[in-house]
Amino acid sequence: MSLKIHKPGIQASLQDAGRLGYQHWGVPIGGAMDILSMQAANLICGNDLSAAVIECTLHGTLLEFQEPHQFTVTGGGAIATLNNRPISFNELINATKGDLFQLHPSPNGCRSYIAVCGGFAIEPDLNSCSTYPPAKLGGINGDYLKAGDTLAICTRKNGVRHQALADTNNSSDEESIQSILKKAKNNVALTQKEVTLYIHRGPEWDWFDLLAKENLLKKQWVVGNSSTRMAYLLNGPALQKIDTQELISTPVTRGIIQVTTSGQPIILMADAQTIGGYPRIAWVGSNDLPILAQCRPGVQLNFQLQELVDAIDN
Amino acid sequence: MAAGVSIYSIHNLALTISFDLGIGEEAHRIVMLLKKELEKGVTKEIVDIVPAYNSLSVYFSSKTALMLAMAGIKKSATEIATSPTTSTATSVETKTNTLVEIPVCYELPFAIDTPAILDRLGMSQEEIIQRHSQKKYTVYMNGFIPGFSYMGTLDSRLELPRKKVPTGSVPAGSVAIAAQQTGIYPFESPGGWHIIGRTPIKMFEKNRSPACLLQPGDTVLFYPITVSELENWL
Repeated sequence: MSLKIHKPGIQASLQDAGRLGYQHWGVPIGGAMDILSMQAANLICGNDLSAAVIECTLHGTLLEFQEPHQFTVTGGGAIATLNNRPISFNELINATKGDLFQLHPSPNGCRSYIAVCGGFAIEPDLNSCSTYPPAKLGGINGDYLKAGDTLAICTRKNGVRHQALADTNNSSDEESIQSILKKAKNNVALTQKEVTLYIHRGPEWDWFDLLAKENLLKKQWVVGNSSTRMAYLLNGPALQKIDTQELISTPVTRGIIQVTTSGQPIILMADAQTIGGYPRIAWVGSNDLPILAQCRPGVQLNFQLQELVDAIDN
Repeated sequence: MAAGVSIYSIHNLALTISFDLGIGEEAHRIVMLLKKELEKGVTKEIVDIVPAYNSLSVYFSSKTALMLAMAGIKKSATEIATSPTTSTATSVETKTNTLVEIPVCYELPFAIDTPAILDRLGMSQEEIIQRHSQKKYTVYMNGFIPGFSYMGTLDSRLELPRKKVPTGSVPAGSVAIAAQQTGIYPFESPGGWHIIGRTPIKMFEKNRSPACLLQPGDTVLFYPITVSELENWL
């Protein structure tokens, strides 16, 4: 039971819900950039909600099923085909032995997630299969997927659609499952080139001058080309600090908007380091992180300030 | 002396408690006292406690858990920062009582940046080795990459600002200095600190328990080894 990688595409990697509880060792949480699409893929396949899936960035991936399998692809950023015939996202698909799955260019979105029924047979490192190459954690030998890699698939009876759903008699669980599927599909960044994200004032908000704050909230920010799983670089006007005070390095995490010495904002993403020394002008609310994860370079971001109490209550 | 305390969100599920103190033993002691206090009440609702130089972040499993814990954390932090016993608290309270001795080969070719910094420091290679290895360091925090421990305080005569342009690829095990800190690169990575030696010790091994060799509060002492000792280290 396996799947062969012919072409990995850009930084295709195995990701799950991430590696929680090791940030005090300097280990990033990591995990899927778009957590909702990762969860949706697993729900559709009847897997554990946070089982490892393949995260593909944009197009280029080419995989071969070496036995018959049921699988799904969620998220976006590419047009998916099986043996060159387009297939739908968010559907359970039957693949037969030798079938080729491929991701082709599309105009919107950024990351797609491939789950197989039964899940991938991967040994976790520090309780997670999420790939983090700098410390060789997770995935296959701690690395991004490479051409020639073979991914073993756990043996389990195929085809129990929404098994996770079927297993639960609890209507609130069912609601939350439907809500995950809906939110994952309705991610605005899958269809639009301009998105609005809610942000909260960061701890160093007042280190910045009035113009910097206005610019952050009123200008359009463009996701930079060098954006990675670690951080998104934003292109726009330089944000100036009022004084030259230096921040003493302090814990940072996904969603924080740091401003570098040159005044460029960067948003920390899944593989963010755990400690940072740049002032944090703001942070993106957790609910909007899956949207950000689906923003490809070139997408325009508008930031809208939200008082924290709303964010905590919502 | 009372230190100012601030508490703020950095994520929907994370709070940071920050003390108005610079990098050093006093800030470290207060951070570690708070960490100890929070660990007493550790429940499954706290996912991680991440200490830094003068701040500490607490990651929660849910918003409800964060909201419920906030007042208590604020109270503990304020008490610790303002308590008159804090400034006189002995290191016994916050040190882990673990002394880790780390072998370092300070010789070329491993002391990659030593030739370049001799003039700037105005001292010989022997003096660098002596000053770096004679002091005990406190592990203040781990960060940057897994297993990278920030240790201080460096002999003031070894203080240098970080490199203006970081080195693209620093070899794993490189022992380095920058400002008042010393640290070891656990993995090959880019780095802006000045490399003065190499250790054969693995700072982070995923299958070891604990995977991360040094914990905040540990004490570290470096001792010099020869090139052949390094190369034959088991």
